[in-house]
Formats: sequence, structure tokens, C-alpha cells
Amino acid sequence: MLKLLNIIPFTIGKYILTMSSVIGNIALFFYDFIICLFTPPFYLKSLKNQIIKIGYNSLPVIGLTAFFTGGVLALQIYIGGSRFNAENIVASIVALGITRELGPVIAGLMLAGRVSASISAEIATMRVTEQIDALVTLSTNPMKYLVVPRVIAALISLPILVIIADVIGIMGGFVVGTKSLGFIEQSYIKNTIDIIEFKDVASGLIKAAVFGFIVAFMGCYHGYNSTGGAQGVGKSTTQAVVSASILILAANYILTSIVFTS
Amino acid sequence: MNKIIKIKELSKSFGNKKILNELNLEIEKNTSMVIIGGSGTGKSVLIKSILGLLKPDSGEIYYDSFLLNEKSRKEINFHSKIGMLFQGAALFDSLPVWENITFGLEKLRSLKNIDLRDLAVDKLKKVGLDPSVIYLYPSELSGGMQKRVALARAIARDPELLFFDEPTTGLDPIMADIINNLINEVIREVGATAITITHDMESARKIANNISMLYKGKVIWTGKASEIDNSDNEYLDQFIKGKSVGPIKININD
Repeated sequence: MLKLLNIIPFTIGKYILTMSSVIGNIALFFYDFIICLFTPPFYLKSLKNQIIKIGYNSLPVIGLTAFFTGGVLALQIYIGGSRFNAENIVASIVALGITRELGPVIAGLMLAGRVSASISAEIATMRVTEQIDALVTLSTNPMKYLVVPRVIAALISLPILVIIADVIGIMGGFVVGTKSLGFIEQSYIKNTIDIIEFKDVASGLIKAAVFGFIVAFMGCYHGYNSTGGAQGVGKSTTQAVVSASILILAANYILTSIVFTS
Repeated sequence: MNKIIKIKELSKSFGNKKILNELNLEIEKNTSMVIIGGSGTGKSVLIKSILGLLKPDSGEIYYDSFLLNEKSRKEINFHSKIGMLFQGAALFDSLPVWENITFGLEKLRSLKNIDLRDLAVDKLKKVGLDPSVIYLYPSELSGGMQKRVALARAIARDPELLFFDEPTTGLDPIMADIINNLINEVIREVGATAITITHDMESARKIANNISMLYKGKVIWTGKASEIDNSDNEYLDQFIKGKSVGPIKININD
């Protein structure tokens, strides 16, 4: 019994120590990143490649998820709204829901799955096959060559992807609304344009930039600090996706409360 | 003799495990030094400490008269004076062979792409590879070819110091001999100082001028390669003859 009681503080202590060291390591990694961000050399070719890889190649995934999300949103609001004769708000709520919340969050989560995982697996494999050590011996700072272009590319790409996701998501709602729910096309578009304000879209884009940073930064951090061969690569990839997803949802709440309650 | 690398009282631990224990070593200029020792005796940690990939806990490493640390490595541009051949070749698999060989050189010597390709072809010829491979990616090459490309990359900067980490591990005996010969040729041609870590005695005899043996994080024997067979050191004797009986105890649980 006494033994069992001893285990509890031991476990809690161990957990807190691990958490503190992870937070400390992330902070140090971030500090290093900021320094490398502002000191030459800058790898613009690598940045361009990463924008294509992270941004352009994510277009099909983002487009499809946004379209279906907009469609299902229209359907649900119609069903829910019809309970108190408020079917007409479909266009407005789809527009606000997509631009403010679902556009950035869905795009962020899709990118966490697609981009965090691939960045983490790539950098972790480079770590375990000594390619990162090789970079150092070839007078190249791996932080500048690998991490900075990826994080900046994601930071630039995700807001652009979210603009596209907003448009396609609203279009998904429009298609469902007009083709299956019987809305008139002109009035659906008019309702959408009337309700959207600059702030709705802008807040979504700020969120997108933050999520883009989280996605690439978590992928790089976990990949860079990977240890233990093939198993380690798998572990760091999982950790990258999980931590990026959780941080996106947490940051979303914080950003929403800052933008819309002040 | 002129010493190019001097290591004084170098120590490094991982957790409770002491890997290097106040190690002292000197390496003469323009010679080939081979560091031998069993697995886990600290050979890799030693070479990574010199390269600046690992930070030692205590001790000093001198390159010529410069004390090497993070700052001075940058100031004297240490990494532009060295070449390193990694155990698994460590080629960048996202880049074709020619970009691997000339990686970072465009900034160092402000060369154009076409000159870089010429330089890659030139280095490939030196390691006995056909120039037609320059557009292939590392995954399309065999293990022996990857090692050769990695060797071409290591000599692309005409380094003063060449490091070889287990150059013959994972190769068949014939390819291992070819790599040994290449290393000898390259050292002669580039006029560099070579530091090799290996546990392949055949390779060590072939490429070494001097040999040092590591055991439990210390150098326990240093001498000319020709002296290893009559050293009167029972640790060295056991190692080069590959006997399981002797003063070296291998802890299987380690």
C-alpha cells in the first residue's frame, strides 16, 4: 500500500519533468530558428521548392475537404434551422462558419496530416542516416537549409490555401443549397456577400498564418530531434502530427477569443 | 614533426556512461592515422567531437594552433578545410549525384552550374566512376557506388583533413579493397592528412601510417603501422588477432 502511494508522486514528478524539458527544448529550437531566420545565407531556391511542395501540392486535398465541409454545413444548418422556420440563414451561416472557423481549421488540420508528417519523416530520416551531420561538415547550417525554408513556406502558403478553401467551401454550400435544398441562386449569392465583413476573412487568414507556422515548426522540431532508427522516425512523425493538431485547436480557441471578444 | 590535430584530456559522457575518458591524441600532418578499437570504445564520438557534431564535456582540441570550439570553427572556416566520408555514405537523396558532390561549393568559390558539373565529373573520375552517373539519384546507385560518390564529395573541396568513418563496413571484400586503394590514392593526390576509424584490420594495415588503439575511452597504444605485430601490448595483440580470450572483456549486456 505504502509502495503504491509512493508511485503516484513519482509518476507525477516524472511527467512534469519530461513536460518541462520538452517545453524548454522547443523554446531553444525556436530561439535558434529566429536567429537563423534573420542571418544569411538565405536558401531561396529551397523556399520556392517548399512552397510548391507544401502549398501547391496541397491544393487538391484542401479543395476537396473545403467543398464537402461547405456542403455538409449547408445541409445541417438547413435541417437544424427548419425546426424553428429559420431555413433562410443557411447562406449567411455557411459564409461565416467557413471564413471564420472551418476554412482555417480544416485546412490547418489537413496540412498537419499531410505536411507535418512528411516534413518530420524526411528530416528524421536525414538525422538517422547522418545526412544532417553531413550538412554540417559541408559548411551548411541545417537549421537555415532545412528548417527555415519549410516554416516560412508553410507560413506563406496556408493563408493562400485558406482563401481558396473559403471560396470552395462557400461554393460547396452554394451547390448543396441551390441544387438540393431549393434556394434561388441570386439570393444565395446576395446573402453571402451581404454578411461577410473584412474582419471575418482577415481573422481566418491570421489564424491560417499561425497554423502554417505550427504545422511546419512541429514537423521540423520532431524530425530534427529524432533518435533511434526506423522506430524513431515513426515515433517522431506521430508526435509531429498529434502535437501540431492539438496546438492548432488550442491556438484557434485563443485567437478566436482575442479577435472576437475584444 | 608538425602536429595538425592535438587532443588534450577529452571527456564525453552520455548519461552515466563515460565514452571518452581524458583522451589524449596527436596527429601528424600529411600522414594517415587509423584509430582502431571495438564497438562502443568511443571512436565515433571522438571523430564527431573533432568535427564539432558533438560537444565534449571537457578537454581541448587544437587544429594547428587554433583551439576548436563553436566560435573558432566558424572564424577559421574549419568545415571548408575538411572532408568527411560517413559510414552510410550520407548522400542527400533529394539531390542528383553532381549536386551532392558540389554541395555548398557554389557559395564557397562562386562557381556556376556548368563549372560545378565539370568539377563533379573531374572528382568522379578520381574515384573511378563513369561521368554518366552525374544525373542519377543516390537511391539508384549500389552501395559501393554510393561510397565512391561520398568519397568524391569528401575530396571536392581539396581538404587539408580527411575523415573516414568505417570506410569498408558493409562492402564486399573486393569493393572494400578498391575503396582502400582509392583512399590511399586520394590521400597521396590531395596531400591531405587522413583520420580513419575502423575495426577492419585489413583496411587499417593497408591505409595507415600510424595506428592508435582506443579502449574504454582512452588511447592505450600509438605507433607506426609496421610496429603493430610486435608491440608487446596484449590488448592490441588480442584485437588485431581477433581472439575472444584476452585482457579485453566484452560486456555483452552493454
